[in-house]
Amino acid sequence: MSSNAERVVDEWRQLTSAAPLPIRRVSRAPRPVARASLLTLVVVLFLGVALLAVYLSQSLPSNNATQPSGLVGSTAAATQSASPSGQPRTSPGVAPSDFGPLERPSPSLPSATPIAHPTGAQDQLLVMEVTAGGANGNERPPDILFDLSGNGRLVFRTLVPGLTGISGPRTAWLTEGMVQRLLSFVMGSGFLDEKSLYPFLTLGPAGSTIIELTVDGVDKRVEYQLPPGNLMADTDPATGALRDVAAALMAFHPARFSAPNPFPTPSPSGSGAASAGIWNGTTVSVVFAIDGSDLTTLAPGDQWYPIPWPSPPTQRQVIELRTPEGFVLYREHSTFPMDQTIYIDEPCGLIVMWWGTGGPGTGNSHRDADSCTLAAATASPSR
Amino acid sequence: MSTGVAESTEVLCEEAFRAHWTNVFRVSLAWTNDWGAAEDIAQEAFVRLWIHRHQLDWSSSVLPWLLRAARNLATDRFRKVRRLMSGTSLPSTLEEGARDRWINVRDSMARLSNLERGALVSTTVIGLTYAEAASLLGVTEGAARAAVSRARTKLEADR
Repeated sequence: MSSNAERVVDEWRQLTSAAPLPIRRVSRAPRPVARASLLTLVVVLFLGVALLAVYLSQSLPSNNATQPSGLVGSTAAATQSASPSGQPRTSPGVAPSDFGPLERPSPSLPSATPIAHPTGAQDQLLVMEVTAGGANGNERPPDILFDLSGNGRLVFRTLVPGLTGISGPRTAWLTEGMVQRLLSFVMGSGFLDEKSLYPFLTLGPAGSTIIELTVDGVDKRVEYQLPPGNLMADTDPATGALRDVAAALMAFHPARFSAPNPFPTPSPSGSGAASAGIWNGTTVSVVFAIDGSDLTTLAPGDQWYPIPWPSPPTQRQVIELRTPEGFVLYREHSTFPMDQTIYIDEPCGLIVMWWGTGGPGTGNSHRDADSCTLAAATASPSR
Repeated sequence: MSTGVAESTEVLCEEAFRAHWTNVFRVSLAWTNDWGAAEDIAQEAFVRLWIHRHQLDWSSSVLPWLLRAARNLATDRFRKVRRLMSGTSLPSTLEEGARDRWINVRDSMARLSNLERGALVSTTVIGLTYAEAASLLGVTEGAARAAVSRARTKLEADR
């Protein structure tokens, strides 16, 4: 091999040989210096985001009307459970046997010092309701519903998983039907289905979608797996109306959700493929599979902290929500090496995800795990 | 599946990770030239290995399976978004000095196409034969050889 080519290849080989594993275990209690560095990082990133938002607002005038104020957040890694050929599954659900038999709450779960909810988190929680769609026949993915349980802005944004530098508000277009579904959901009388979510999903890899929302500077991420297909099929820019949706969502007030739950309760049998209602009144297990081998089912009353960080690939956590029958309602992957606290309060079909303390502009800081916290909980049935 | 068998496949997954992480990451990095994305892709490949662990034939090496999975993941990831890419992520897992070295190497490798990087790395770093590299990259053996040759020529010209 010629000299320069050899030098480059040798350097490439050395660097990749010395490369540490991608994610490090992070101390639960960062040192003060680390905290100060993190604070500095957050401040710098926030300023950068603000500048970027100004830039975008000036350079992309056509997008302005369709997006709230620019917020750029963490980049997330996409996952999808698919064959090695790259073809996604037709459903996010996996057979319970994929992760072994459903376990009941283990008395050996660590019951260390209870961790309080992050300050102010209750005001910023995003409520994610998981429907019984999907079922064992894998006919369709479960519906995932969102509402905002506190005051705050709701900013939709999509990020390209695993990439940096292209995050930020993005124009998305919705058909009239999508707008109606979103608005009806916002008004508390409807639900979001995959069609409503398409516009937010078009940059994700096939069959996998990252939905990121920022509420008062708190980032949330939900991975939503779609069946294969053209995600742009019905997102014609000519009929786009995201500006209306964004305005409606931003005008949302939690008082609108004070009404009784409008969603039907599906059969607790776990076979409610055709049901669009939330899984309410039934205990939904939260299953954390760390490396798949450390599978723990959490039940109401459990607190689990901390999640031990085994060596990769065990860093990859898989969060599943299962019915008592073992039916997988929802599944989420994460590569984030976050400090984590899991709260399981009441048996209910509402799952609350609280994600991220890094605030807007955390950039690629999913590798700076100090800035991230994940808490998952079941919420009170009354809202 | 019995508990014993399940546990054994779990052990095999762990062993596969320890044995093959570097090369899976290398293939991902060769294809993407993006350290952060390569980490994600490699990790995802191992997640897939885990998911499909019960269906795999563990009597032979799973490295080809992993490399193919990583390569497919890398292709899927970038096929749709390449035009939107405005930058690549720097390796936060590398120390600062090594990070600077990586930037230089990355810039040199950026002059190569995905195929050229993949072929070059597969054959000269990972040690695959041209036939194996061709299979991994989805090209003919002749095309793999040509890609390696072009890669060398481009790198040599990049003085």
